[in-house]
Amino acid sequence: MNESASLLVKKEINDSELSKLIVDAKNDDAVAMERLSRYIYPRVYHYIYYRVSHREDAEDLTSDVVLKVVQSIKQQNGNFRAWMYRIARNTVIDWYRRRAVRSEVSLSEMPGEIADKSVAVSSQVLTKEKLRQGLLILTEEQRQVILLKFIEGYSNDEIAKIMGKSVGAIKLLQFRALKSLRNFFRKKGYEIKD
Amino acid sequence: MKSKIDELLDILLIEMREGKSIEDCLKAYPEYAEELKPLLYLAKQIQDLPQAKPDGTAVEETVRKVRTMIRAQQPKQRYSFGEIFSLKPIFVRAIAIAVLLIIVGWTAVSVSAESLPGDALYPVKRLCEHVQYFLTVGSEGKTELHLIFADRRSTELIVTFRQGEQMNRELLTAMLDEKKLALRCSESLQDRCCLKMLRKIRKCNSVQIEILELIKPLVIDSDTMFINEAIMSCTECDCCIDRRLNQAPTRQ
Repeated sequence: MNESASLLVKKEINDSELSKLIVDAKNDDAVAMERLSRYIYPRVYHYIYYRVSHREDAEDLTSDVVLKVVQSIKQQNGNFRAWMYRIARNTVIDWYRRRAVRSEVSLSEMPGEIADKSVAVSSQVLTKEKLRQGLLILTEEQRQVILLKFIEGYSNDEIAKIMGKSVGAIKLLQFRALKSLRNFFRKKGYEIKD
Repeated sequence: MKSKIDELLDILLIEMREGKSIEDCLKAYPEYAEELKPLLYLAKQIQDLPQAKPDGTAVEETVRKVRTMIRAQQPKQRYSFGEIFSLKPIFVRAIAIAVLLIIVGWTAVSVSAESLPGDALYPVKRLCEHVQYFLTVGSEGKTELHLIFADRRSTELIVTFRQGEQMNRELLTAMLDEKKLALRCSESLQDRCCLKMLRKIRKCNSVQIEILELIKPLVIDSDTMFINEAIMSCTECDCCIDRRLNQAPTRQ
């Protein structure tokens, strides 16, 4: 398989189309809002999928985020993706907080905190579940870089805009995140091989 | 050093994106190969992970929620008067017909108030009276209406007599009947209200006697007996009213 192909994530809507869609949605165009929802859904879902344990939770949270985005689209300013991912991130954090209040989960399970789980990662194939567990040991920013770059396929410039950081900072976060992940997998007996 | 290696990792990731193999990428930087190789493989494996595809049903459910929310958020469309006419032809037709019916009905009722027996609108006048009577609640109101109708019949009797020099027996009967009905209705009234109505009926009765006395010499012979009977009926009615007024103690 061509490696470059795997690095590129298809985008059905280009940036100018997205800008027009956002403008139309801000002008109460119902069709544009619906198209925007369909555009947002998979992106937010990928982003949330690796942050929660269950697929159903990811779906519920994604739905919440899409509704929030559409509901408050008129208040959106600046970079749309940055705004959208910020809403997604806050929604996940709120969800973990609520669960913690209900004592369903310990706060230590929240992303960004190290969850000392005994992860079965002995298989030599990286799976989504293994990556999800590995991401738990990363900081919030490192996790965001991994998801936006390698799952969503954004460029450094785009990630820098989304996260409000410099491109240099993104490169550093990327390096540290990959290194932490690699160390985690090695500790758990999973050697990264081609 | 760290800054350089993170820059280098990014360069190699770009080269991979452009199609170079990991080995080819690392050839140019053998001193970093040991550290960067596993990172590049890890990056590649993460990228090669199958996309976590969202369930189509969940997507559609969310879109449905969005539609519902959009509908709820959109302000209810308000049409101007002109827009109503341009957008809803059926609605406009219904309104136009209703307005037309109201105008025609109102005009017919107004004009019919002055109509006389034999006129085209006289049945409308009587129909309106029936409707008015049907819609009136309570004996007092109904008694009052009978007296009003009796008065109308009196007027109609005089006018038709002047016009045709002949007495309309049906009108005369209707005039007397309305008064009798008023008297009957008043029976169910309570003290003070009953006295008030009885006085009104007596006044109406007096007016009827005056009218009858007035036209009596002018009618043809065959109607004279009819008038006499009517006057007698009115006299009996007067007695009846007096009796009832006297039966009502202390209120005379």
